[in-house]
Amino acid sequence: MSQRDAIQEQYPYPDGPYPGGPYQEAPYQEAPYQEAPYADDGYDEAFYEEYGEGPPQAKRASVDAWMAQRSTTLPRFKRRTIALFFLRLPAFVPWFFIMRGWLSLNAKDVLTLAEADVLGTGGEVTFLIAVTITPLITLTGARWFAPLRRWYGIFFALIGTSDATTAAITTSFSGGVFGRLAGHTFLVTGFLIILIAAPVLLTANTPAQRRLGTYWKKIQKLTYVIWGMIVLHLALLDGFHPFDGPQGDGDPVFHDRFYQIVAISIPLVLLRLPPVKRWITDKRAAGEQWKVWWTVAPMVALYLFVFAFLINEEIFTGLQVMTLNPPAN
Amino acid sequence: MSTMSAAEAPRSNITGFLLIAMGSAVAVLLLILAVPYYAGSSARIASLYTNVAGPADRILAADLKAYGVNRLRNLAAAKSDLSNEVKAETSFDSQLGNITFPPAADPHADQLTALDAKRIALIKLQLKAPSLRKLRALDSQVQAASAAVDAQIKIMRADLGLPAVSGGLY
Repeated sequence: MSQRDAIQEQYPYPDGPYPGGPYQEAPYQEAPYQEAPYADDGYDEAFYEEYGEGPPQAKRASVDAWMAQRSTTLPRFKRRTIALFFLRLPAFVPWFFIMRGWLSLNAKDVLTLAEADVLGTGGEVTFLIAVTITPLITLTGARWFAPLRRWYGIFFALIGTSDATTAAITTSFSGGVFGRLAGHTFLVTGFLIILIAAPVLLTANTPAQRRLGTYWKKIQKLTYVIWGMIVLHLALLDGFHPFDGPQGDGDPVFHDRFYQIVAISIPLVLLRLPPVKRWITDKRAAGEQWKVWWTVAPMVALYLFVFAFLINEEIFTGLQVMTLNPPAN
Repeated sequence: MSTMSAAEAPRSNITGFLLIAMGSAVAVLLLILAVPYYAGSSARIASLYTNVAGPADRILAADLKAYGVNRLRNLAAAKSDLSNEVKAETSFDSQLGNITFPPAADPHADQLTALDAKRIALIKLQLKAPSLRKLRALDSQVQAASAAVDAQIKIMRADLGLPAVSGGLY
């Protein structure tokens, strides 16, 4: 049996209209996900092996399978490639915003006053996107967006490094470069995040994954240490009152970075717990995915609500830098 | 691949459900609490405004009173009063810029800052006056600018639900 026949047997789609075009015109010519998993996809497959042959699996697989087909409008590319291209672009936004501050060599003290808001929040957002991918796979069962985890993880480390470098040169803390990087407890935690992220960044590639073998996953698990350090960093920075930023809108609690990271982390941590993952996959296998969505809906709503404030701050402070109109403090 | 026994599976599933339900219950609670908190934002913005306006008012009231006396007999003291007035108004404008007003009040805040800047520019002209007579000659222009600022303050305070004030105070 050819590979194509085997796949068609596994995904017995009807002859009717298939999203994006007829199925026959876009067969799976390349290896499916099962045979060629994403190189950077460290997701635990054990949770998906219990699936039967029922409709939920077919539905889950159909999203990945549909994304694996070539685009009808741009036939040179797979749908997944196009989708991932656009989903990767937001990682550049913090650098896009800060660029004018860099190029103008800190004109009007714009970097001194706002670089930490732009690159710090940008780094936080990229990190949170990276750690959101695994729970999203758990929830949806789809895996086509798994490469975003590595992409945003790498960008978190790069943006964080650029933040630390810019801060070491431009911020107003006393004590020279060392004081600007580690002159306060929250600065020490921020600097430690960058130091811990370095080995994770350097090994975030397939050759390192092959060479390091089982050690690779242990190094990548430093991500959880980084996560804890970010929470600590923001707790020391803001605590129960925002340090700075757009707090004058009458809603300071919504802008408190410590509250934000806690509110976002709760669902992300919960969805990583083995009993929770097992419950979700069991429900999906039983064709009761709707129960999962109803149960997690409030957490998803809270996540999106809080994330909107993070994005708002990134845009707000980013535009201040872009227009060389830094905050007054 | 599941390593659970058949007897363990339902218990774990319940644990998973309970964990996720607990998280969702907390999320629901936080979202519900966010609604009244958000509803109180206009009162908090008004409070932010009065926190900025209060100290500026106290300084301005003293300066205006002192200037009213010194403008007739002591040039240096009158200029010192005007200089303090400029500082207080500049500080007020700067702090006002840090408040994010609701859409209705936001353009009025910008207009207030612009009118205040005009008044500050006129007072700075007064500071260059070589004599009391020339200094007083600009008083009428400053009063006209102040009247425009007062009118804008009334609009601002109405936007924020605050009672009106008069006499060059914020």
